[in-house]
Amino acid sequence: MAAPIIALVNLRKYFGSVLALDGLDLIIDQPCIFGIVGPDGAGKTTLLRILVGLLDFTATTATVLGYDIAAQPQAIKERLGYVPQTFGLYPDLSVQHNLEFFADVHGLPRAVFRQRSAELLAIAQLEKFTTFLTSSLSGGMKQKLALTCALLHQPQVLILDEPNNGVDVIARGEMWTILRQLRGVTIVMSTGYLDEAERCDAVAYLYRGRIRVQGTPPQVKAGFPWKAYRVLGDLSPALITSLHRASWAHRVRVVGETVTVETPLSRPALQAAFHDLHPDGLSLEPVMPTLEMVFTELTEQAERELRG
Amino acid sequence: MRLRNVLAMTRKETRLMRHDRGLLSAILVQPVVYLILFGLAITNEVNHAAWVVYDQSQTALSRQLITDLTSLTALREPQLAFSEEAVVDFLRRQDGLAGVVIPWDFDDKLQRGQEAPMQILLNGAKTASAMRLANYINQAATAFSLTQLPTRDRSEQRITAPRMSIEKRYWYNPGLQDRLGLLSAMPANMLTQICLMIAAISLVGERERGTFEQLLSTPLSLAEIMLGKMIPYVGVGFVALGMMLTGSYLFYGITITGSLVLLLLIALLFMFATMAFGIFFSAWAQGVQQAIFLGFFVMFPSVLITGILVPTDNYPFVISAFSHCLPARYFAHALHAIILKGAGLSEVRGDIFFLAGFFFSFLFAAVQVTKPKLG
Repeated sequence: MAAPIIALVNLRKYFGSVLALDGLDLIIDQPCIFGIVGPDGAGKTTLLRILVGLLDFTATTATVLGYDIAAQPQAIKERLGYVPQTFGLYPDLSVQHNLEFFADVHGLPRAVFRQRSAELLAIAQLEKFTTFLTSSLSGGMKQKLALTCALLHQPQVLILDEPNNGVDVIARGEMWTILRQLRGVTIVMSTGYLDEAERCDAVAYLYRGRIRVQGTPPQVKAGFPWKAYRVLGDLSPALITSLHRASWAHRVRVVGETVTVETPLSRPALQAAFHDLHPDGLSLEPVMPTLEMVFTELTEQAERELRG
Repeated sequence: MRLRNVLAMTRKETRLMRHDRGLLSAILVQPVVYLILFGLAITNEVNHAAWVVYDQSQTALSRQLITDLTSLTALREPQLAFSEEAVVDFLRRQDGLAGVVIPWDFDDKLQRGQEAPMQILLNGAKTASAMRLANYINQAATAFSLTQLPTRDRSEQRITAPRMSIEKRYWYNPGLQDRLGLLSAMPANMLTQICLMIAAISLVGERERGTFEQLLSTPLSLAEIMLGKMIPYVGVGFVALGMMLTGSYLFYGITITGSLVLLLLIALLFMFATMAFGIFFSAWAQGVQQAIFLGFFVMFPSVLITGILVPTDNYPFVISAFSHCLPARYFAHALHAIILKGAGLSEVRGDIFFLAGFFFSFLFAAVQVTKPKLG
């Protein structure tokens, strides 16, 4: 069997005395879009930087494409593309010159470069801007250019650190179109947006330096221990307050006009409980748990474990 | 304009400054540097200088003259030379300040009441110091000739004028033009400024712009990144050097006595060495400001205590030792040697060796300093 694309076992990283990654395990064995989700400070960027070979670490195993990250970083860097969180291209160079630099760095022959950059610029819709100074591009265009530069040498692994942070909805959509067109490339991206995580083939939830759950979005949601119902009807503030107090309501989410209840009760039991609370006019609609529900639950579990 | 607003800004800026320990110490070390350099190093006074004497006559009288000269505070015990070539060699290879030749008939002529000639060979490349020393020797020799005159002459007071003729010859700068010595070494000063400053902000600039992380994710090694950054500026440095040498020739008639190729080779080495020095600071510094101050810390002494303004042998020991740590000292020496004295490879071999050593050690150090900064 071929080596996994990414294999991390018991990965630890300290910054001084602060433990950033706490014995993290992660195996990715086939090409996919893999989302790393987690709150700020969970260790997402640290994890990605380690994969790129930018940080020291300790681990039982740490390989990318079968190469040891600590011992063969060069071999990995030749086969990997990276788009850091902060824009890393040269603002004072034109789009074309930035592309040429990254092609040169990877030793791309001229002809291959011309063909590759033409293809990628067309996909990214940047072909009209090659003579523009990079600093004059919009945030979304810069991000697409960074992605283009990272893809020039046809990497087998693409690492994206919050690629859509601060990028508008349209540009985000374009980015996903580009990513979906890449075949056979393993994309590991961190994101703070859960709707983006939903679009990934697989996700991992990172919290306090450890992966708490991992799988396809449906798999992850299937692991949710409660049932979720949307409450429909006339919802007064008083009702919501009493909902919050109800022992059977594990959690109540109020987002705008929508109220969702997470509960261990079955639908009839919940219906009965609701009747006690508010005799008339409320109906319940079962909803699929969202990633947000799962991750909130996992975060609380982790906090409880830490306290206990 | 509101005072409150200005003060708000001042307070914020003060806090920022206090966090930047490196910058603060770089600023506060300046007065110390100025006090030391201008108090001790920048002087054309000649003190305890090395010199050679070629005593052809080898008589008690000539030895007495040598003892008298040695008693000058300007001079130390002389080295003995046994040929004119050895005297010239001392000025040229060892960059000595002065050589004294006492002719074989010195004693005879003096005894016979004739004018006794004495020759002083001075290193004109060190114009101001050489002139000063020539004056001292002149005075000492005059005093000597008065005391050593035959007693009868002195008692009869028949002789009022000293009977020693002193022939001074300034090598390498017979016209004693200050600018010859200054201008010929100026490329060392100029290229230090260009190379050091550009290199000092290079890495730290990438880091502040956020491009360094992207760069490190590529297959480029640190040494490759650093070398690649240096090369274009070495090119610019050569253009500046070319302008300087051409201008020195066209406007001031300074010609390169030695090999231009050798000069350019050493310039190349010097630029790489200085840039490696600068890149080391850049790797070390926390921010661009700090890197620039660190650069000044080297640039300033590179101009003052590397033999460009004042000959290196006028420095006290500590300053001299410190100046040996500056690439500019070796380049300035090589420039003087090649441009003024027509020195060949064998005379600047030491400079080449040191500059190459600087380059490799500082490049290595810069790579080592950068590595842990990633984590």
